[in-house]
This record gives sequence, structure tokens and C-alpha cells, in this order.
Amino acid sequence: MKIRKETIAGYTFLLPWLIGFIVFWAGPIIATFALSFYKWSLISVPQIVGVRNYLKLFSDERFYKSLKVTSIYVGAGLPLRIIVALVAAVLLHRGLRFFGFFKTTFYVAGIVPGVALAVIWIWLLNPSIGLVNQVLGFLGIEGPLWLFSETWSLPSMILIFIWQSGPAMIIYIAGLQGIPSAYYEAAKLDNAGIFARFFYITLPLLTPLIFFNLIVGIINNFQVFVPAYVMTQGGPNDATLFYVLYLYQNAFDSFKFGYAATMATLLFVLMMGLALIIFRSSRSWVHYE
Amino acid sequence: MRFYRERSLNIITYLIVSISAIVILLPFLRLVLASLQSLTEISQQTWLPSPPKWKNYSEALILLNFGRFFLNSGLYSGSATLGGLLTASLAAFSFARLRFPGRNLLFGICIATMMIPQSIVMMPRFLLFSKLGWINTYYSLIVPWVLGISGFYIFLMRQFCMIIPKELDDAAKIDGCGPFRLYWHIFLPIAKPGLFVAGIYIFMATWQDLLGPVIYLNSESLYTVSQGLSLLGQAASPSQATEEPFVHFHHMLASSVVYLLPPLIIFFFMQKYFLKGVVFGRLK
Repeated sequence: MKIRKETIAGYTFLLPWLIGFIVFWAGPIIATFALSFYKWSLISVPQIVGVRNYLKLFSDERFYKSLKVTSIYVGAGLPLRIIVALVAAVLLHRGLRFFGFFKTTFYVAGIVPGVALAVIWIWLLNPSIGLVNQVLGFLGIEGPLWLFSETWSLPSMILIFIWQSGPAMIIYIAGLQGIPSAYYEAAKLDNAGIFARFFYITLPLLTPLIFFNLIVGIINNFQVFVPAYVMTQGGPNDATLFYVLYLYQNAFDSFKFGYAATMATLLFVLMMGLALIIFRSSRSWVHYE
Repeated sequence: MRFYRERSLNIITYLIVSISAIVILLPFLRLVLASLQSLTEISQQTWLPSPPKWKNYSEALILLNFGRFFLNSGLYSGSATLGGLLTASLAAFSFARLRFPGRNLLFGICIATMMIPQSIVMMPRFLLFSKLGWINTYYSLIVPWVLGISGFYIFLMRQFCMIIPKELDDAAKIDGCGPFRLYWHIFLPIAKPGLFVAGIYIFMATWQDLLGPVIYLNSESLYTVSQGLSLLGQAASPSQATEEPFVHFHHMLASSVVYLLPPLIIFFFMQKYFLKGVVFGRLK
């Protein structure tokens, strides 16, 4: 009798979320998948076209371009960010003076809202009036055209991405604080140098954190949208045509809902697949206590 | 020998860290200064505004309607945060404290929603909201945050729940406390830190949201700050570049400073939560 009451209570408390989950998550996922088999521009009647959207997609050059652009962004940006955050964490972990000030400073860069970030960097990276080229000029270097250039626009975005490594650094600092200093003492007794200590103690013990950041990072950042939407709208000649931007353009600029749904379905499968692969492979390089 | 090694390591550390700090702070400094400059001063790359043009701010807020946009963003973020916290705390309480068949499976599904990309749900939601007549209203933005709150926040709150000692529950139950009163009078007050942290996260996420407003809001008077600012940004971006710098460049900079302020203020007040508590929701 008591258990039944608890069951009712349990589900009642869950009700708002359950309704939301079905209406806004489960339902839409299935609907998007179904939508990918249709051709629909909202104003006309949806026509079923079977796998034609998929065939079109796989022969679409811009689709491949968007995959490539996004993969470079995530594939270069994420590891670089992890490295920068790790190095910064290790450096700050030495507990020098003003440690708190530096921590705060680095973190602040990470809480700048996306659109503000984009707008500020449009200005900073402007070849003629921006700070970056001004500083480079002081150093005697002639700065590139940044967002105006086909070669530099994607690297610009990766740079901005790394500029925001602060929050990741904080997480690694917390992780470092969890490593017992006894390990380092023992290593020092065995005459292990800085690099040895880092690669044999620090790094292995931090792998759960790195792993977590990697999964969340890939899934979140593969969907990058704001920088491209605000700063380049796809970049000089599609140089910054991120996947979700192209998807958005197909859905809400060209009103090709079926085609966009195809892109979305593919993205979903890709993300889940990636997460699974990293999860599986983690068994070989993640060390839990 | 060791001492000198230690010393030079420290110097190198300070050097790297200081240069990095400058790389972070210099843009902010320049931004605030430039937001008070005229268009000519900005194009000439002078550092100090002379005199500071405070009207950049009043013009942005009134003429360019950013004051309105701020109210809109406030409405969006405020409602989403309150509503989202309610749903999330109810669900977290259920997952943490109540036992019922299917609980673990549902919790697993709940967490999985954290990893679902927005793009796979955005089109059907758009179609649904069209049918409901919610396009160009804030319902389409706020309701998904309230009812369909992402599992991340539920997970976060549940972590905070787990700390609360069960004895407290039992004591209350002996006094004849039903689950709802348990939730309202005992759980919520103690879970305040959790509510704070989750609330901050929801606020930040909605404050930054661009995709939502851009898809659902059509009338300028309804725009959020992120949306309004993105329009200025697009006009100033390379694809629209002209000989002269964009006519509202100084307004754009001023608006971005004001847009930055709420997250910055929240951060400074809640520093201890961020710099330590961030890990809370992440690990385990």
C-alpha cells in the first residue's frame, strides 16, 4: 500500500518534466526523422520523397564543406583548448601570488555571451581598425585580413574558441587539487623531473576529466552556430559554413524543411555515434581510482 | 641548484600567466574605452575617448531600441529560470527521494537529453508552435525551458539532493509529512545552493540564446538583446563591409558592454560557486 502511494507521488512530481520530454524531445526527434523523408516548404503540401533527400545530401558539395569546416573547428579547437587549459591549470596550481586574480581573469573570458563575443571580435579582428592588427603592427608584423580572408576566417574562430579556455581550466584546477601530493613526493624521491611527473602522474589521473570534457565538448561544439551567423554568415566563400548554420539556412532561409530534417537526423546519428566511440575507447585510456 | 630551478620556473610561470592575462583583459579595456568614442575616433584607433561620449549608450538604448530588448531578454530569462527551476527541482526530488518502478530508466533517459542536439528538435517544435499560434510570442521560447528542461539541470539538482541527510526525511515523515510538504518545506530550503547554481546556469543559457529568438521572433519590438545585437553584428561583419565603418559601430560596442553586464555581475557575486561549485554538477 505504501509503495503504491510513493509510486503515484513519484510520477506526479515527474509529470511536468515527463510531459515536456514527450512533447519537446521524444516527439520531435521522431518527427524530424519522419520529416526527412518528405519534401516540404511549409506553404505547400508535404510530399513524400523517400530517400531522395539523403541521396541529394550525399551529392551536395556544400554539405561536405560544412562537415569539413565543423570538423576542423572541433578537431583543432577542442584539443588545443584542452592543452591550453591544462597548461594554465598546472601553472596556476603552483599556487603563486595573485593566483586568485589570474583564475578569475581567465574565467571571465568564458562567460562572455556568444553574440557579444562575436561582435567584439568583429571589431578586434578588423584589419584596419581592430586591436589585433594594431598590436601586431607594434611588433612589426602586418596582420592578415582575418574574417575577410578565406584562409584566416576559420582559424580566427578557432582562436576565439581558445581565448575562452578559462572555464575548462577551472575544472582542471579542481581536478589537480584532488591529486594527493604524496604521489608527487614519492616521484621526486625517485628523481622524476617535471615532465615525467606530469606525464606519469598528473595526466593519467586527470583523464576522467579530460574524457568528460571531450565528450561534452564535441557534442556541444559541433553545433557551433553563433559566431558564423553573426560574424561571417558562412564565411568568405563558405570558409566558415558550419554544419548547423547550413542546416538553419536550409530550414529557415530556403524553407527546405525536409532537406534540413535530413541534415538534422544525420547530425544526431553522428553525435550519438561519436559519443559511443569515445566512451568505448575510454576504457583503454581513462584511469579511474 | 634546486632553489634556482624553482626560482626560474616561477619566473617563467609568472611571465606566461601575465601575458595571458593581458591577452584577456586588453580587449575588455579597449571595448569599454571604445564604447565611449565617436565613429571617427574608433576608425582612427585612438585609445582614449576625448571627451567620453556617454550618449552612445543612451542612443543605443532609446533610438536603437536596446532598452526594449533588455526588457524582453529579462522577461525571457527570468521566466525560463523560475519555471525551469520548478520543474527541475520537482523531478530531482522525485528521482532522489522517491522510489517507483522505472525510476532508473527514466533518470537515464533524463540525463541522455543533455546530449541531444538542438537541431534535431527545432523544426517539429516550430511546426507545433505554428499550429498553436505561438510564433512571434514568448511562449515558444519559455515553455520548452519550463516543461522540457534539459536533464543537465535535473542532474545538477539531484546531486545537491543527495547530500541532504535521509534522517531529516524520516523525522518529517514520522510527523506525518506527505511528499509534497516534504518537498516544499524541507527539501527546497536546504537545496537553495543547488537552486542558485542551476538558476544561474539557466539564466546564462537563456541570456545568450540566439537560435530560439531568431527562429520564433519576427517583430522588432519583441527582439531579445542577443537578437538585436546580432543584427548590428551582421551589418558590421565582413560580408556587408563597405569603405566606411558601419554607421552604428559605436552603438554596437556600447550595447555589447551593457549586454555583458548581467553575466559579469552574476559572476562576481557568485564567484565562489563558479570557481569551485562548477565541478559539483560535472563530476560523479
